[in-house]
Amino acid sequence: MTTPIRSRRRRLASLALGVLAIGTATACNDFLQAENPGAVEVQDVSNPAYVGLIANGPIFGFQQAWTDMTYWNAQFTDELFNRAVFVEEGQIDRRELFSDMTYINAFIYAPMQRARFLGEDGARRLKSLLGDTATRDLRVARALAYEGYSYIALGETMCTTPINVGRPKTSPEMFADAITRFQEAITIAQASRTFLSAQTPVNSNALLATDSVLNFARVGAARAALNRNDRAQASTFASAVPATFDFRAYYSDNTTGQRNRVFERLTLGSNAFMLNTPFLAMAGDPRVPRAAAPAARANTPLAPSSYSTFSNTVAGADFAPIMSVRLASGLEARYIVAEAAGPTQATLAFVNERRAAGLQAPVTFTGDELMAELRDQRSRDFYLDGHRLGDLRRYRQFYNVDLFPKGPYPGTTSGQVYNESITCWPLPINEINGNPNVGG
Amino acid sequence: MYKRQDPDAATGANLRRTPTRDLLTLDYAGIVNKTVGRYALTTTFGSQIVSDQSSVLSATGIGIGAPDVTLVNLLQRSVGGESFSENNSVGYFVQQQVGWNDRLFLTGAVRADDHSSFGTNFDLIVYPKFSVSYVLSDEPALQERLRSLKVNTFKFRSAWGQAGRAPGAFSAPQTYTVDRVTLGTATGSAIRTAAFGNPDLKPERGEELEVGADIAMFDERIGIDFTYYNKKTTDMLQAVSVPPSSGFISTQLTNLGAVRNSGIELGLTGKVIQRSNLSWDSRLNIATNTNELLSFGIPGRIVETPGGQAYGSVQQHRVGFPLGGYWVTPPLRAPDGSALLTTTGAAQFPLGDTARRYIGPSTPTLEWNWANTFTVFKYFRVYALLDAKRGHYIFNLQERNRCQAANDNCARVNDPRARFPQTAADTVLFKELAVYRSTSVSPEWIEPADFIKLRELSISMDLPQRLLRATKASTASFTISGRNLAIWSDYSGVDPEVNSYGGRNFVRVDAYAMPMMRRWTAAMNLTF
Repeated sequence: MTTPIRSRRRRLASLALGVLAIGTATACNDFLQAENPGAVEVQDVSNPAYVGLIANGPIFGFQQAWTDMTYWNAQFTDELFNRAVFVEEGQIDRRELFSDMTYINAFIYAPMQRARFLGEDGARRLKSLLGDTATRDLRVARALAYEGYSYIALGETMCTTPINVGRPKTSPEMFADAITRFQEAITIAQASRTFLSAQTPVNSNALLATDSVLNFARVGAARAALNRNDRAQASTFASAVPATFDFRAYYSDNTTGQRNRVFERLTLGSNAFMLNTPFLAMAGDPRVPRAAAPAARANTPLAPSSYSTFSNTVAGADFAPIMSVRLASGLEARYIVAEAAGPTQATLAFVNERRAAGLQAPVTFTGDELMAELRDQRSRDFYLDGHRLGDLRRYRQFYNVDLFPKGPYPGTTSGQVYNESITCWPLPINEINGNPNVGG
Repeated sequence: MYKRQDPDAATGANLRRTPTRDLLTLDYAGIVNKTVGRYALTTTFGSQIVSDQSSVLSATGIGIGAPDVTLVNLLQRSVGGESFSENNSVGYFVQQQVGWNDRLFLTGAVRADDHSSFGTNFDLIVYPKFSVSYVLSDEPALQERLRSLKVNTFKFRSAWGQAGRAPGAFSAPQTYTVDRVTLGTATGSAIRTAAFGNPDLKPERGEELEVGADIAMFDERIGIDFTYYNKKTTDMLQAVSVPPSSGFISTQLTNLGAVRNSGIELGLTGKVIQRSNLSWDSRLNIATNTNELLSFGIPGRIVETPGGQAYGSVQQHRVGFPLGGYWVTPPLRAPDGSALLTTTGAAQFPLGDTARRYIGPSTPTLEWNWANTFTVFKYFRVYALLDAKRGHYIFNLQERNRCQAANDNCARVNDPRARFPQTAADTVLFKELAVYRSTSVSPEWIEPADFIKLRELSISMDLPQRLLRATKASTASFTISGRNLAIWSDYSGVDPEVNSYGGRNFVRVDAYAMPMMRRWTAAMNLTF
């Protein structure tokens, strides 16, 4: 009689275990909520503890995107010539562009779209988190200004640009949207300035920071207006900027992702040179330096000197991954005023001032010749800092001056030519495939 | 760790990586057996709980100042890293098998799974399955007939079932993350977008019908295994492009459309010779596979380009064709086949996706291998394995790069007849130079990857017991074997079996990849 009782007990024990296992599994819904310590879920981002990080988001996005876009746009234009064996690099140099080229999305389009979104998203979240004080909070103004610059970058670079999976916008629409962001940034920065000025004692550092963002937005608005050929508006914004103003994108050797990508590209196995560009002939101008040695790197714009707009040119240090890049400046504002004003005596005086900076003798040009010289000086002052493509497109569209490289591709043995029909980047396949508002 | 040996050399680095995995499983299974007359009933039920956490902690120090001091934190620059993933799942199942006369078996089962990687809008999933097997050779009415046909065993089997594959960890939620930002001379933290996420994410569901038979004949000297399979995968998990205008630089794991894989698997085994001083055992396996993308599951979507293709996108997913097939635009040609060139001598390629032409699949449609073992005087064995894959293509990027105008370093471009044409045929070759040198990928670079390889050849010898008496070993054998000894292929590269980007879904390209190495091994095995 003992055997059946044991057997029954075993069965009961097994059944109890089974019920326990199933019950445990059923009860533990939390068990299926895996936590990711490397991420913040979207619904948790609008946490007051994240205000500082949200405010830094647009800076992160723009600084990272800008440096890569600068390098590839330099090849797209006449700033650099690329003789790499890597197929897509040569294609970019010749402007043979196709939507399925991996470089377009990886280095040009997607990072700047993320920068734009971080500006938009950051400003929206900050306004929500800061409440009434958002209308005079510099962090909101800064986010809007960076967002505006990302609109400029996309408008100057891409042929068309969808926003938030919408229909593709034309470049003039992008510049108009940029001006809207800058105007709001200016309004908030001015309110911030008014508020800070009324405090006792006055925080002078805070006031300096406010002025910096204010002028950053003014230069951006002037640049966007000039790209729309609204010279009066461009001049109005630019005239309010002090000549000594300087605003930079900063880089660091702290991690690989924080390094200046122009430095990275030019020094780490790049095949980009000044050869076959108009800048090769500007050898005596300290604003467009190039290496003389070693032979393999000759005519590469790198150490020991560096570009005129890069920070340590002033200090005389070597080209380095930590170099900041001038994004906006009083100098640019003066160029905008001069271009908007046309061939005036003031423009001539400004041109000769810039020629002196390039160790060139003064000129007495007038009319178109003077404006051509203004364009030449501008190309030197802003060499390799992300202005050239926007400039070339503007010259072509509004002044009937086409400075894009054209004709046979230097060194070709197979009949390659510059694609003269392309002056902007097409949308990448990632956007075309994933955005229902973009016609394939 | 790489120490500095030479003061002029790189300063060295110390790289540390500590992977950790915590896998906890709780399985419960109960079985109830019952026999009712000729019927054997078996009920199986249970549950399974799995928690799988993986993390990697890494630290890198760069720049060894003093050769004897190598701790990561004491080097010139130190960086750390950490990754983490977690997958939790809960499953329940119940299965009922009915056996009749120990030769007919019917099985039905249901399994339900829930997983931490499913989207918030999706709950658990249920997979059914059914199978039948019938040992015809045990059926008294057929035994006489099968015996007359020299059939010893004949088993028919068929199964239909569904199974799933859960998405990867953290695929469902939309997330932001924190990154480093340079603020003047300082480094701060910034929030940025990370994963686009998909709240509707659910597992991939495969539905497969399989029909086959296992046959043994002539006193089990001949064996035949045959299976036909037809598997349709729906809600296919696929990473698709997220439009960057959304602000997210990522792909989105999505349940997309359907794919069908069908084919046959045939195994033939034979004891061809069985004598006291010589035996020959042979096995031939043949497998075919036809892969077809049935739909994307997105209205109007007909094409998707797999990510991770470097140097030109030549592979695409297109409805009605194999996943990752090669689609390339041919150059414009005259009626005589010669390339049409521009006035500057460049080859012309039509623009746009519609100009692409299908070249072929990137995965084999036919695979076979043939293994043979010869045993001579019981002590010597010779084993040879031939392996073949056919029907697929590979992008020969290596040769294409060599032919590029910037390099001019391939035989086609340096062919004297093409360089200095003398005849009309030479002129056609001359025009082809522009095609070879063009930066556009022409169909010539997508080459058939068919091959047959002598995958393995080995010779073994067992030492007779009498020779082992002096030693204390109970058995001893000596083997010499070689792998990848010969290849027969029309591929112009070194080895069509390579793939430089094997880790990327569907991407198949020969870009200076190391071929499969020929390897010789000599081994002595002693058993004590």
